[in-house]
Formats: sequence, C-alpha cells, structure tokens
Amino acid sequence: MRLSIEVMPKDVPGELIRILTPITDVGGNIITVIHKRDELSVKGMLPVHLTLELENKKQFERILERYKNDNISLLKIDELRCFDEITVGIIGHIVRTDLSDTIDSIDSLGFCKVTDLQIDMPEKKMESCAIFRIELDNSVNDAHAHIISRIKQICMKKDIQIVEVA
Amino acid sequence: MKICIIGFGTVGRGIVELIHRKNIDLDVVAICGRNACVYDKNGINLTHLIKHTKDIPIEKYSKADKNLDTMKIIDMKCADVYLELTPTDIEHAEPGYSFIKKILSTGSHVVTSNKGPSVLHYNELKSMAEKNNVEFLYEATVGGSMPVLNLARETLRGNKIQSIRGILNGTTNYILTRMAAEGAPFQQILKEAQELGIAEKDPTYDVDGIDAAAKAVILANEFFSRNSTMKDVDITGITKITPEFVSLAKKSGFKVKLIVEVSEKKLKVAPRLIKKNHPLAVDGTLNALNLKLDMANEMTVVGYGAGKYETAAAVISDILSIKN
Repeated sequence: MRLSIEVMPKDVPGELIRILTPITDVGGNIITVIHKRDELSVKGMLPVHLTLELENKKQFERILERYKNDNISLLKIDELRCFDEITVGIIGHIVRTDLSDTIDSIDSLGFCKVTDLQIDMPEKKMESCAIFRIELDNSVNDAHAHIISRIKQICMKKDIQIVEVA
Repeated sequence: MKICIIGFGTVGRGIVELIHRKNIDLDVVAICGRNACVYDKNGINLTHLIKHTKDIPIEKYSKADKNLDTMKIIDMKCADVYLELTPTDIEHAEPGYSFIKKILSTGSHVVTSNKGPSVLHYNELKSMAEKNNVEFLYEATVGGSMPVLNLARETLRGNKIQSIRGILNGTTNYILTRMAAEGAPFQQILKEAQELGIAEKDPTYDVDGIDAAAKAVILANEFFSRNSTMKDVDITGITKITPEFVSLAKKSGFKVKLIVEVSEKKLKVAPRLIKKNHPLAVDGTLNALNLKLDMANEMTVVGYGAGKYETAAAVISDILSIKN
C-alpha cells in the first residue's frame, strides 16, 4: 500500500535520518521526501512530506510506535489514503475496439485510475497487447475484485483476453 | 511383491528399466499390451525383455501370448499391485476405468499414471478401494516426479491445505519459456516442441489447458472434497498468448505462465503474470506448486512433471509405499 504522511522534525542535521530509519527498519520503501521549507515554524521545525510504500497497516503501526518513542511529531492528517497498485494484461484488437474507452471504463469506477500503459501493436491486422498499471484506493472494500470484474466485462464485450497477475 | 504392468508405453518401459537398473525388489509377473500379454508367475526376465523390446511393441516380443488379454490377467489375480498405465482419455477414461474397477473388485492394489479414471470417477474408485481394503494411488497423475499428493498426505499430515496454485504442465511452460527467451511466435515454438517430443502430435490437451485442468480436478477432489468435474474448471489455454505480450510482460518484470488455482471456491486454469523472482516462476519443462497451509504457512515444490523416468519414479514411489 502507498501512503503519504507529514512529520515535523527539527531543522538540524541528523533529523532526516531519524525520520527515515524507522521506515526502512520495518522494510518500507521511501518513494518521495519533500521538505516544506516555506513552512518553517518559529521553533525551527520543518514539515517533511513523505510518500511511503508498505506491505500492510501493521508496518505503519510499527513506524508510528517508533516515532512516538523517538519523540518525532506526526502532524495531524485529515485523511489517510492508502493506495495499492495492480497490474493487468490484455491481448486482442485493443486499439480497434477503442482503447480510450477501455481506459475510461476502468477510471469511471471512481476509486482507481490507470496510471501507466505499455502497448505493443505489431502489424495492422494482428492482435495488439497492453499491460496496465492501475492505482486503486485501498480503503474501498473489495476494490481489487471490482476492478478485475469491470475489466473482465469490458474484455468479454470486446473479445479481448485478460491476463491477471497470479 | 508381484506387479503387473498394463500398458507398455514410455512410462511402462521406464518402470521396467528402473526396476532392473536399480535392482528394486519387485517381481514383474505380467505386462499387458493391447493384443497380447507376457506372463511369468516367477517373474519376467527383465534383462531379456529390455534387450528384445527396444524398438518393438510388447505384442511383437517373442514371449508375448496372444491368448492372454488384460482382463484375463486381472482375473488370474497374479499380482499384488497392478500398474494402470494406458494413455489418458479425458472423455471416457477407457480402457483404464474398466481395468481399475475390475482390479479393485478382485481385491488388488492399483497404482496409475492415467488421469482419466481419477478425473471422471474419483469418488467411485476411492470408495471401491476403501470397501475392498486396497490402495488406489495416483501420485504420477499430478506433477510427475514432483511430490504433491504424497507430500500433502504424509509429510504435511495435520495441515489443512487452504489453497494450491502453480504450474502443472511442462509442455506449456516450455513453450512460454522459449517465447520469452526468443520472441518467437507460439506456432513456431510448438512445432519445435513436437519435434523434440516435448509436445504431443495433437497438442490440444496441453495448449488448451485441458491437461492442467484435469490435474486441477484431481487436486480439488483429493484435498477439498469438492466432487468436481472438468465442467467446473474455468479454463483458458495459451494459444492466444503472443510473443509481443510475453515481451511486454518481461519489460514490466513479469513472466507469463499457465497457472492452476485450486481452493474451496476456486478452480481455474489460465495464463497469468508472475513476478520474475516469484518461487513459481520456473522455466523450461519444470512444474512448480505452491501450497498455503494452516499450520506450516506456505510451501513451494519444484520438479519435473513429465518424462519417462520422472513419471516412472512417481509410480515406483507409490508401489513401494504399498509394499512398506
């Protein structure tokens, strides 16, 4: 799952390592680190925005525990959004059957969006293929199943084969 | 222990050669072909048999008796264990089904590599074996020499299997592996696989996912008591997989494999994307199976699912477990 948090360390050397170490210790992956220098507080505290990739909520709870023990302030977050990502492949006449319609049909579910698309179109009469990466909101119940079900419906209608990740 | 071999094809010959080569304490008293049988109550001379049947069917062997057929041999009750090794017929399971029923009813053990009877008549044959207090074993029907049924039954006793998934067809794994390595189209690789003997002349069972589905049915009935048939399996073969798709998958860090999935609620065979460092992402003709268990958590086994000696080894393992 992917999530974004903001922490409030002091703007002194060594503080960034203190924030990042609990994340790597639990096996998390740090995607982005942004220092919000325009928001430096009068006490010399500097908000740092982090995007992390974790396997599950338990890892996040362990990070929070470490922050609490290390006196690292976690800014109050209005909304904690967890994103997951799924990969799906399709094979068939995907361009001729309106690829943009296929993508729109997936996005129209509202809790996911196609974030990456790799496509291979050999000669005109031959079948094409594509691999989608789809980001989905983990907080929606059965989001993964709904997306796969939608893609299967589209594929059946357009006579396209779906290849899911095992 | 006296054994009778029904069907002297690749696997039957492999068994005879292994028994002879490794001096395994088993007496082959009968070998049955389509139109003749070889019988010797004191045990067939395997040295002579192997030497003189190298390139000929058993019917043409000098010691073959055209007055004997399989049913007569079974009636004679001349063996403790009968090996039913006739080719799989997934529609009618014959003649294997008739042979097995007769053998079990006469109170002898059966070991088979023939999927047909287990797929179409699982419950009936298991009940017959139980009623007659004999064994009906078929390790070789799923995963060849890769331990699956015995592993779950014996070594993982006490565990409840929650799900099974993996690669159970070496032919399609070979084809997909070569498509990934060379970017060559499916038909070309299939033709080469047929020339190498890795794919059958009629490859439909393999490439349409039917062979994998048959194995899925056996697993479903064995471990989930599902009373499943082939109609219950959601099957998609690999014929529509293109080299372009395999290449795209590779660039995204995936391999494409024909995956069997079996659980209480799922029975499916389909090409899937597998992360390239996943334990199931094995190549060539290898099979691999991942078991999710309630006590032992998770386990993956890898091995050769087919082959003369690989399949023969699985049959011999079943025979020896009866013997012991």
